[in-house]
Amino acid sequence: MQNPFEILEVAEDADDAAIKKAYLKKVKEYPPERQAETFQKIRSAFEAIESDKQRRQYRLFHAETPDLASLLKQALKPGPAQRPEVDVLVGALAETVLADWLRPKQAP
Amino acid sequence: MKPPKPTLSKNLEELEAKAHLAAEQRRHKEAILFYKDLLKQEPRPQWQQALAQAYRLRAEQVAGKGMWQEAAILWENHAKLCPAAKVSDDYLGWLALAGQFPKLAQLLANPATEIGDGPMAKRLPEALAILALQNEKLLTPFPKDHPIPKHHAMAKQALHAYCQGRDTEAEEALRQIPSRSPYRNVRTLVKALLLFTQDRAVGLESLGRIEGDSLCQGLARQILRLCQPGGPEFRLGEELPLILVGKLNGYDKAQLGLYKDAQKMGHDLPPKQVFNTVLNHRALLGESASRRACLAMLVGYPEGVDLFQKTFGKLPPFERKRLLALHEEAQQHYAQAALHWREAIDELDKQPQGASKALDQALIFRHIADMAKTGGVLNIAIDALKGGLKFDPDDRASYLDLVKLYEELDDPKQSQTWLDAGLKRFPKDVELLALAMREAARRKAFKKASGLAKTLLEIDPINSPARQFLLDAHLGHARKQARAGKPHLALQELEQARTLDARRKNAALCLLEGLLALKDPDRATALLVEGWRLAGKSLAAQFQLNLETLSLGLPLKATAGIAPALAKTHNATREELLALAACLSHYAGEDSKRISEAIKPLKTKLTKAIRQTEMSEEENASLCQTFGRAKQFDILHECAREAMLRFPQAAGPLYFMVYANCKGIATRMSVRDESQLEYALGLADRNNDRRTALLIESLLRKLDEAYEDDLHLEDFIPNPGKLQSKLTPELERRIYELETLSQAELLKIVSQYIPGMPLKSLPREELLNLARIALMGELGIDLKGLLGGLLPSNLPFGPHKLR
Repeated sequence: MQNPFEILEVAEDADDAAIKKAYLKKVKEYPPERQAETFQKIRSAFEAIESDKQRRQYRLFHAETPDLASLLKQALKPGPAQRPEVDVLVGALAETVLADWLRPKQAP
Repeated sequence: MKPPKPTLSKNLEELEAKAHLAAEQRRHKEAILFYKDLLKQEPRPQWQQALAQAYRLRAEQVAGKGMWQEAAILWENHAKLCPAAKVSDDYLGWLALAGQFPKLAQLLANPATEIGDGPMAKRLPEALAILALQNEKLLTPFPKDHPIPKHHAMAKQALHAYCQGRDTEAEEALRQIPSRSPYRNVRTLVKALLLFTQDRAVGLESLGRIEGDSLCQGLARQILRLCQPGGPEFRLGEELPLILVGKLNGYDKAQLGLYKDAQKMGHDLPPKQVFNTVLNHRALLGESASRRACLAMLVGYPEGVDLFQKTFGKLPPFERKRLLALHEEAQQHYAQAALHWREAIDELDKQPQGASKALDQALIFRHIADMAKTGGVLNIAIDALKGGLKFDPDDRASYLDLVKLYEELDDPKQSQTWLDAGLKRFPKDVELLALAMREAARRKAFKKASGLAKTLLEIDPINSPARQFLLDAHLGHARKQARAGKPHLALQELEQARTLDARRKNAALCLLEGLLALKDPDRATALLVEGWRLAGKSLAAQFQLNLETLSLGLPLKATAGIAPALAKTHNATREELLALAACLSHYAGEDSKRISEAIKPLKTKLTKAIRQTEMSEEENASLCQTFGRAKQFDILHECAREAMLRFPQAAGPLYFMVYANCKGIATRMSVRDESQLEYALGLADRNNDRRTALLIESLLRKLDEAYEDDLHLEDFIPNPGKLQSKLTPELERRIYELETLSQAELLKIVSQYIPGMPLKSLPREELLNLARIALMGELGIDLKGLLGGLLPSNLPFGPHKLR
């Protein structure tokens, strides 16, 4: 599961009231009847940290999975675009074209 | 190995049969040779067709092995024999995979070639047009007025101009590419890249204009995903166009380095390398985010702790233990994990006092308990729960867990102690009160149980177990009063019971009302019919009617002609058996003799049903357990026997068979029973059948406890250890030998040692016990002395054993 504090957008030292407030705000944003999947994620996050005891349990026993993709995304934010060499562009294009064209042949 | 070359045969029929057989058996290489041979002798069209087919199928076979060039040649042979055949997608694909793009270009350039209409054939012009941007030789076969060579120069010029920053020239070149050109999507792509340079978002949006089935979609999708203003959407492990994306995203050297390393991360990279990658790029990833990611990775890679501490500073000792514990948990090494968690608790102990610290310690103890429960190590779970309560005595769940665990360990005393402790702390807790009520009823402390039920109903007026308990209590009193010849008081109890069952759902109440109204046959019949219906009109209904009749002190025939009864030919179903088991469980506290009497008239039907009904292993075990608890050992025997036949690999039936044999009394077990139980325990462990394992362990424990209270070798001989170690193997061998002896042989052995005793009337099991003791005498122990204190006051003999 993604970090519940991040899902609810609350600080890791937030108290019961702040967590409940953030949860209700999120529920308004993603009501269960319209965004069932997101709501379920929000609900699970809230249930994981709604009380002091649960927050302690989360911190003690939850082995966090490092979100490397987000970490990389953050570090690899683009700067001003540069022009590629023509060989690079044509090479990348030819490669993807060939892969796409051969896809029906390689599909199981 | 090469297949044998078929010899030229004059017998065409024989050769044709061989060719057919080879084709049928998918030996297409041989089939080709046979058909070629046939065609040399006579050019029959059907053989030519068959040869073409064999070429095609052989082409597919070799393509399956990745031999693309060979596959393409075989397909060409096929096409030569079938001039009408259109160029297939398979052939196009094999040519491309073999790198024969010039041949593809020739196919497309030749107006005589008939190309099929598969998805690859449809996109062949666009593929060749774009590939020609990289390899201009592909243009050679095309006539000058063909759209590919015609628009190629404009597309190339646009690409060069864009890459070199000559935007106006690029735009001019793009304008010259017509909208039906095979380069039309390259035009859209380059246009989008030109816009991208000025405004990333607008450029990305323009990529959406590339046609959905265009081959430019692949690159467009990658750019859309990897060149977003917020950063790339990585799918770890995929091949990424490194340099192009690096340029489009304007990455510096450090970012390019990270991007390159990130590509490798999903390829099952060992945790060490992922950890090191994050550490190496921490300046770019951010110190705090890198620390957090590395800390999280330490659970899977504890060896990195030194490097982590060297980089980010020392970890608190508690945190180190926590990470180790989580690592062991992830490997499912729960015992090791528990050890680290205990060390973590000790580390917390060293910290300054505070409520917060105590709660963490309690939570860790409970976590250990959960792990121990999962692993079935109940004693450790109990210890951990008690440990947790020391730090946080207000955890209701721990009390409940302790009560249940002690129940599971068959330790009612401890179970009661923790129930009382829980109730003392939570006197209004519904769950604890309900448990206490059940426990009091189990101990036959009905007054206490009734009091608890009333308290429960005050707190929770719709609590059905409490309601049911009170109702049962009134019924119990009614039976007692009726048996004591006070029917008026019995009726009063039934009236009170009726207030708790206003919707008339309780079968026992109706049956009792009917039985107390036997003097008024019409009313009695109406009530008994209603009770019979509520009881399910089945085996269970008959049993319940019988039992209630007996419980009022009436004979079974008292209801003849008044109450309904099962037909003699009634065949009980699986559902009826399960309903009877449920009914027996409900009457678990009843006198077992009365239960036996009530069940006796049903035995034939019951035995027949047990033999004929298909039941799952689980259902059978539950049935056995119920009969065992109700002390119906002959039915249990039947049930276990059937289960042993149906589930020969299961441990449960073996246990229940032994349980039936010894009538639930551990000390009545023979040596063979004991060894069978030990075998069943091994079986239960192998099958991961924890429930049966617990039952077996409990019975064996009772046996051991009985031994402890029974005869002790040291009571009779000094320094028994030395003697025991010398004698044990010999003793064990002889004890097993005794098992095989007949009654007469046993009698002969025992009477030698105890002359003049009335041994003939003793059952075999008692004789066997005496023979075992006699055996000790033969091995050098003074039997007379040994038995002196026991005989004759202990006759008929109890189950004395020497161990």
